[in-house]
Amino acid sequence: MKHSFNRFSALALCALSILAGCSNVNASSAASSSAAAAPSAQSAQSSSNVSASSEEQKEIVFWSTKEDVFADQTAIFTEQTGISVNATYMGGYDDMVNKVMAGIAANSLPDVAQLGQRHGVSQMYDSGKLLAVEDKLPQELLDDILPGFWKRFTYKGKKVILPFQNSMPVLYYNADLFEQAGVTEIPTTFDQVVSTAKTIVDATGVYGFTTAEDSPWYINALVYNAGSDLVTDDNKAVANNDAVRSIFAAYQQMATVDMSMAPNQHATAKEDFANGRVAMLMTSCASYANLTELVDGKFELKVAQFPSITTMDIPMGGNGLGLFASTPEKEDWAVEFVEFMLEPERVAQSTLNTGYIPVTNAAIATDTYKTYLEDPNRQVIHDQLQYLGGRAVNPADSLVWSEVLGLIDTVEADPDADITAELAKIDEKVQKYLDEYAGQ
Amino acid sequence: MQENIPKRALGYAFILPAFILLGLFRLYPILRNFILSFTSWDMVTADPRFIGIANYLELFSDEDFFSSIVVTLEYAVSFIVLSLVVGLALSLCMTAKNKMNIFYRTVFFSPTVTSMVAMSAVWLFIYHPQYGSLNSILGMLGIQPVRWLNTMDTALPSLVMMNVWKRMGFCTVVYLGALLGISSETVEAARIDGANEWQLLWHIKLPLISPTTFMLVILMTIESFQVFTQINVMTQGGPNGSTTNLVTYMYMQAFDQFRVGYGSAIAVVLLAIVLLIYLIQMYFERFVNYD
Amino acid sequence: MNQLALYKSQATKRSRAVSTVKRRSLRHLILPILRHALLLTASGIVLFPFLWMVFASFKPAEDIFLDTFHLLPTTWEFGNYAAAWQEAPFDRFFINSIASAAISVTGQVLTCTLAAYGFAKLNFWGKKFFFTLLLTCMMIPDEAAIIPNFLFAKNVGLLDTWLGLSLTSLTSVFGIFLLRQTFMTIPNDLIYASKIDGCNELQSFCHVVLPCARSSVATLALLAFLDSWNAYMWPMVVTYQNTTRTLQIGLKYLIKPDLGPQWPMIMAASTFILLPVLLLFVGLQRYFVEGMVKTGIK
Repeated sequence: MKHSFNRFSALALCALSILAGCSNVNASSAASSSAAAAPSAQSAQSSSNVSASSEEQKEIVFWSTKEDVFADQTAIFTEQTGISVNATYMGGYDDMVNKVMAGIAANSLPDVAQLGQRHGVSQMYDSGKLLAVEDKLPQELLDDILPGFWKRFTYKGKKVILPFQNSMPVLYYNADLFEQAGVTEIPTTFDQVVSTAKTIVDATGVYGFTTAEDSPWYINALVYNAGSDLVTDDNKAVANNDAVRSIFAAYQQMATVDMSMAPNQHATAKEDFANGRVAMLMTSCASYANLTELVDGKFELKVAQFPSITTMDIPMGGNGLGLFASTPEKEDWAVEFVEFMLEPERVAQSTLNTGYIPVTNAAIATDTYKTYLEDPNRQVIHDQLQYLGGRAVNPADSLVWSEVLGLIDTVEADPDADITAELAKIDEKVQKYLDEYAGQ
Repeated sequence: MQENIPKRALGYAFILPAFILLGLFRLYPILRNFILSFTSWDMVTADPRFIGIANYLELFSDEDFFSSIVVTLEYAVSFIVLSLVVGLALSLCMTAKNKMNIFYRTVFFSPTVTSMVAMSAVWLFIYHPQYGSLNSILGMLGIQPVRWLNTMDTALPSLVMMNVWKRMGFCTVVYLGALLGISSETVEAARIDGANEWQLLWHIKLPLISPTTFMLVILMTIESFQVFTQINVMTQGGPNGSTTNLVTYMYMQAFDQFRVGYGSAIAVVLLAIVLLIYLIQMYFERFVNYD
Repeated sequence: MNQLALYKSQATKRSRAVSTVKRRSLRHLILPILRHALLLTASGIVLFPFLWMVFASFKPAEDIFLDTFHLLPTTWEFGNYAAAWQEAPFDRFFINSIASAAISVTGQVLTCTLAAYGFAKLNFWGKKFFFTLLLTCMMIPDEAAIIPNFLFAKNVGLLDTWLGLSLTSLTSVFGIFLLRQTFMTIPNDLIYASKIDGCNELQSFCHVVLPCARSSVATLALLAFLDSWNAYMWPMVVTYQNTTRTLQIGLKYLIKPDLGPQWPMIMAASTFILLPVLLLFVGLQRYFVEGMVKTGIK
C-alpha cells in the first residue's frame, strides 16, 4: 500500500546505510576498528596495543605529523625488513597531542609517534604509556645524538623522546635593507638587535624587527640566553626576575616607543619579511627553504645567529619520535623502524630538503651534509649547533606558553603595561598548576 | 491553539528516536561533565580525583574566567542585534516577487552554506593590516588602516562582523518568510488610512513578525554561546584574551592544559548561563504578538 | 485586534492625506533607489570573500601578500589546484564526505520529522519539559561533548566508519525546531479529515503532514547535508585512517607543522571543497530558501 511503502522504503534506506556503516566493524571490537567502506587491497587492519594474532604480516602503527607520512622511506623500510608500517597523518603537533591523549584515555595507541616537543610529553610519560627511549634504543645511537638535544628530551632523569626533525631559532635579515640603513655590523647580542632595529626604522621607515607566530619560543630562547629560567627543573615558577623583565621591556620598547616592531602582527611575520616590510625576522631555521622561495630573489636573504645576551643556550623546536608501550615484538620492530629513520644518510638528506638540523654526528659526517654546508647561510646555522640546549620538558609547558603569549600581546600593545605585576601573576598561576600536577 | 488529541502515549513514540540519540550524544555528556566538574583529572596520569566544589570555588576567583564571560556576552549581544537588524533591513527590501529578489536571496544566504574553517582562513586574510583587502579598500577611501584582529579593542568586533556576514542571510530569509506571511489586506488598509512607511513598519510589521524575532533571538543566543571554530582559526583567543569566550576558555583548560575537571566545571557554568538566559527570554514571551 | 484599533485612530489623520500625496510620490522614487542601493551594496559585501578566495586560489604564494589592492592575479597559477589535490587523498575524502552526509541526512530526516510532529501536533504529559530539554541539548557546545562521544564511538567499534562519522549528527535539535514551526502551521482540520478516512497517527503523518511540509523537509535535508559536509572537529577525532577521512580534514594537510599554512593551496582546496555545496545550493535554492522562508511564517 502506498503510504506504508514510503515508510518502509525510508526505514530500509536507513537500515541499509547503518549496515553499510557498520559493515567493516570487527567482530572483536575490543580496541581496534578497521577502515570503512570500499575494499582496500592493502592491509586495512589498523592494530593497536591489543594485537589480534601473530600473523606472518609484521606490522607497526606509526602516527605522523607529516602529511605524506614518509611514504617513500617506509616503503624502503618494509622492503628491507619485511615489517610493514601502517602510517597515518594526525595533523599538526597540537592535533597529535589531542590524538595521543585521547588514545591514552581510550587505551588505543600507536607503536611509534612523531611528537611535537612543545608540550604534552610530560603528561604522556607520566601516564606510563610512553616508553623512555633510553630503555629501548641501542647505546651507540643514543651516544651519537648531539648532546644538546638531551637537555630537552630528558624527563625525570630519563631520555624519553628521540629527536627527529628539529630546528633552532635563528635571525634572518634583509641585507639590502641593512645596507640601505647604513648598518654595517651584524647584531650578535639582543641589545644590538634592538638598537639595529631602531636604526633601520629611523632610516628607512621599514619595521626593523619581528618574530614569527610562535613568539613564546623566542622569548624562551632569550631567557635562556640570559642565563635565566621561567620554570626551574625542580618545578618552581621563577619568571618574575630582572632578566626576564628586561626582555619583555625590550619588546615593549620596540613595539610602542621605537616603533621598530609591528605590534601583534606575528601571524604574517614571514610574509611581511619576504615582502621587505621588516628587516629582521626571528624564526625557525627549518623555514629556510620556504623563506628562500617566498623571498624569490627580491632581496638578499641572510641568516645570522640567534642573538646572545650573557650566554648562548638555544632551545630546540620541531618534533621527536616517541615509543609507546605495546607487545614486546612490536616494540622491537618499532625500535628497528626508529633506527632506520635515523640513519645518517637519511637524516642528512632531510636536512638538505628542508632546514631541519641534523640530529646525529654520523649525519653531519656524511657527504650529503657537506653539500648542505656549501650555502653560507646554512653554515651559520650549523655553527649555532654547538649552543643547542634549552630546558627539559615540563608539565607546565603549555600553560607557560599561553601565558607568555598573553604577556607578549599585552606589552606590545600597551607602553604602560606593568611587566613586573604581570610576571608575578604568571608565576602564581604556573606554580599553582605545578603543585596541582604534583599532587596527582 | 491546539486541541487535545487523547492519545497520550503516542507522542512519546514519535519523539523517542530523536531523544535516544540526543540522550546518548548530548544529555549523557552533560551529565558526565557535571560529574567530572567535581573532580581533578588530567585524563592520563591517574583516575579522576574527587575534590568537591573546589573547581567552582576556583572559578569564582579566576579573572580569566570572568573575562571570558564578558567576552561571550559582548559577542552575543552585538552578534544578535546586528544579525537581526541587518536581516530585517534586507528582507524589507526584498518582499516583491521578482527575479532580482530571488537572486538577492540566494546571494545573501550563500555564506551560510560555507565551511567555517575555510571562511575563517579567507577572512584572516581580508583582515590583514597590511595585505588585507579591507584595509586596501579603506585606503582607497582615504581611511587609515585598521589593525583588525591584532588589537584588543578591534579583535572581537572583527570576529562578530565575520560571523554576521556568515549568518545574516539566515535571518534575512527567515524574516522574509515572516514578512511574506503578513496579509496584504492588512497592509493595504493601513496604507489607505495614511500610514507612512515608517509607521507601517513600527506599528504593523514589527508586531506581526515578533514571533519570528522571538524565535531568532532564542536560536541566535544559543548559537552565539557556542562560537569556537572561527576563534580557534583566526585569533586563538588573543590578543591577550580579548577573544577568549567561554567555549575557547573551556577548550584551553581541558585540552591544552589537561585540566579536564576544571574544563568540565566551565562547561557546566556555560550551560547554566545559557539556560538562565533562555528562561529569561521565555518570560518575555508575553510581549510576543501571537494573535 | 490592535491593528483595527490603529486604523480607526488613523482615520482621523485622513486630513493629512492630501499633503502626504505629494510626499508619497517622492517617496515612491527615493525608496526603490535606496532599496536597490542597499541590496546591491550588501550583495557586493557578501560576495566579496568568495571572489577573493577564488582569485587567491589562482595566485602564486608571493602574490597573495602584496599590499596593493588587487583582486585578480597577475599571473594565473592553475597548478595550485593540482598541487592541493595531491597533498592529500582528496578523491577518497570526497567519497567519505558524501557517504557520511548521506547517513546524516537520512538520520535527521527520519528522527526530526517524527519528533517535530510529536511536539507540534501531539499532546503528552511533560511536553513542555521535554521541549525545554530539547533546547538544552542545543546549549552544550560540541567541544564539551567530544571526549564522551569519542569514548562511546570507540567502545562500540565505530571509529573509522561512515556511521561513526555521522554519529553525532543523526539528529538535530535545530532541525526539530525548524520542522515544528512548519508543522504548527498545518491546519489540524486536514489531519482530522485523514483520521476520519481511517488513517492512524503515523499514516496521517506520512500521508498528510509530510507532503504539506515538503519544502521544509527538503530544507532540513540540505541543512543536514551542509553541516555534515562542513564538519571538521568530530571527523578529525573519530578517524585514524585516510580511508575514512573527510574533505575538511584534508584542509589540515595543507598546513605544515614547521612551515605554516600553504595559502595558495589552501585557497584552491577551499574552493573545490566549497564548489559542490555551492552548486547544490544554487541549483536547489528554490526549495532551500523557500523552506527557510516558510519557517518564518509562524
